[in-house]
Amino acid sequence: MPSDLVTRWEWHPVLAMGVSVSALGYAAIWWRQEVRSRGELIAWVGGLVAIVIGTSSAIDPLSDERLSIHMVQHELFTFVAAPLLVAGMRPLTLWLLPRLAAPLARWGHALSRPRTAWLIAGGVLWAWHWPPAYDYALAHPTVHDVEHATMLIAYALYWSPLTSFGHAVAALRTDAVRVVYLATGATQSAVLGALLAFSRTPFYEFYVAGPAGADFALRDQQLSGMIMLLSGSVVFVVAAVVTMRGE
Amino acid sequence: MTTDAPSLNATNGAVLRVAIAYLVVGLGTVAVMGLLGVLMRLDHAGMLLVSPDWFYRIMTLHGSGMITGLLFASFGGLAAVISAEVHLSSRALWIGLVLYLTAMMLVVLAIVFGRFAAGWTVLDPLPYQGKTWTESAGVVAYAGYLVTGLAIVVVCGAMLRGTTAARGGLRRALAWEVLFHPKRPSPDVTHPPVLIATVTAIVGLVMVVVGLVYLVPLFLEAAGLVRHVDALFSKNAVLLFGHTMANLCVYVAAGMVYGTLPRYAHRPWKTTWPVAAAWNAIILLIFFPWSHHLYQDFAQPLGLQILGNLGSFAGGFPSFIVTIVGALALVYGAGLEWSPTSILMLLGIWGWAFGGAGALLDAIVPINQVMHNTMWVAAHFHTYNMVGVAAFAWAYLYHITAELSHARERRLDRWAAWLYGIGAVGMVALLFFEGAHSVPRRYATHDAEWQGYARAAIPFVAMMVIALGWLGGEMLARVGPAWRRTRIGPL
Repeated sequence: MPSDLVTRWEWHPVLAMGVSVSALGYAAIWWRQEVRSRGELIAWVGGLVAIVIGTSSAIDPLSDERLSIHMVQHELFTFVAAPLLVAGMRPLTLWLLPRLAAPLARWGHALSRPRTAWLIAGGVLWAWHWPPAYDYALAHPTVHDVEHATMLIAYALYWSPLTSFGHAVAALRTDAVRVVYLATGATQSAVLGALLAFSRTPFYEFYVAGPAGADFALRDQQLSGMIMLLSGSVVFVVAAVVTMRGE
Repeated sequence: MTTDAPSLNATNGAVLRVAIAYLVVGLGTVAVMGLLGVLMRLDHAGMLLVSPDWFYRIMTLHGSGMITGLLFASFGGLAAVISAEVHLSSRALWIGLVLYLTAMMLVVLAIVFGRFAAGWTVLDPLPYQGKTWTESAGVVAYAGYLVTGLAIVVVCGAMLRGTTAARGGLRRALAWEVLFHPKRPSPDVTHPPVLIATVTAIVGLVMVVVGLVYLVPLFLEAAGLVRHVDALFSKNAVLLFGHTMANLCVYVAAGMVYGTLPRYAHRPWKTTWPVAAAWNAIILLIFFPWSHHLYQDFAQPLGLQILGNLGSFAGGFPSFIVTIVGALALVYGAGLEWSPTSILMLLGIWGWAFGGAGALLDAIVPINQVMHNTMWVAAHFHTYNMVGVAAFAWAYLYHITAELSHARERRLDRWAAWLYGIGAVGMVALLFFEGAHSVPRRYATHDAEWQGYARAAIPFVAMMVIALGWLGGEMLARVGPAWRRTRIGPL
């Protein structure tokens, strides 16, 4: 099975088209910038690669069998793709902003306000991990895709106040508030991870009813909680290293 | 350092802000952990029933939270003191705070949700196989300890980088010109707080390496790559790391005293030869006393037992003779300005002296054989930490917030400081009595004949809660104005 992760890929035409358009469109906008940052280009491409790995590699089919793999998939969207896309977002935002209708720009600004973004990210994460919602999404592929898309968008919103590109987003201005934002954001996802990791009963009927059985489902759930708890902590620390400015 | 040097200058506002954050977060943690301690004492008094499962979880949280809370509060205070003359990276300090918060989050989750209750005990099958917790909880708790180590590396690295850059090298930062050329006085000598920051940063970095020496095998064991980590190795390593960390707290906190007490005594605290010698000696001597915790381990080599006894005494002398006697000499006949800061700092000196004396007694082999597993040890480190380190840190937070916010001291503040002292001393005195009467430590349930000590301690605990409630409220009210003042700069 580990070899599957490298050799087994699935072709999703709509996704491929979306990623290609996104990459080419971004490259064109990036090229027109007066000050071009390679880091931003790499971040954007990295974010797209993370989405492709999460949706087209063996992670996607295996996530129906193992919660732990599903957790890795979610981590790719929320903790890898979302922050990388946000890190590369500046040229796109600067290009888009004058072209957006004012109400849309206001909405974007309002949604990226730290408290709003924090609540949306936390709300989306917890709502989708509520067992009935999770089981329903696993049983319905379209809902499952919506789950992943909302997680990606919600966490893109969450990471955006940590950046600063003009007035496009409501950026956090000082290290102190960035620390509070990161620490509370890390804690809310870590609590969910801890609930999964230390539970004595499996939460998700979909996996309990799977071929591996309830015992495996519980052990796998504990592993998935550990993945969320520990890798999430690492990501939030890395975010602190990147975003602290000594103010 | 002049006796009236202001804390805030044109360049250190950012460091003072992060320092205040360390003090508030660290002492906030200490306050919450203190309330957990009250729960344990009420359980010992037989007045509140805490199940053994919860008792050991609370004990684990209380112990680990107290030590790290005190250490990081003290780091913040020392950073604020030296920032007037040393450029520190506020970015590094903020990153250190995020690491500390992450570590705390992991440990709290492992204890609250994972029911982890092994404290810092690593003898196989601990820390992973407990009766109430899973291996995952052990891994998460120890991951938290690991992240604490990383936070210490970041803070100590920033301190060491700052002091060596400011002083033009490690030798000058360690005041070696005073040490090796005492007859050629230099007009530009490293001030004691900068010397202390350099010494404690070196100790902190070495200590974390020791921590990694046992944490890495433990994680390999959890991963199934190592069958069992050798028990004696584990116990030595965990105590060498943990005991040194507990000692480090008071040395870091002493930097605040060297930087602040002269302002209340109106006399400078100079880097004399004994001061330089003592603090340089601590770099080595702090690593020797841990072994007095292993006298009762028959497998421990005799040489390490002797080292434990001699090292405990040798480690105590520099701090006792230089800092404690030095502080008393500083204030003697100086017309000391009595304020909550000076009251708490002198209380802290008392706590350091008596807590240290309790440790030295416990480090004597025949006494240790009788006393080590009793509340005597709990008495010693509560005196050292609660009356010593915590008093230093509360004192400095009071000082810095009062100075920056220009808040006026109220008479009640001074009464609250005295009340804290009476409560703290009474509480630890009863712990010492308990130990002297062989009441065992780390017991979740106390027999009826032991409960009198904890019951007698309750009025003293109440005094501390009232005093800290008052002082804490005063300090919290000043944090906002103090914070804003660091943005405006010196007037």
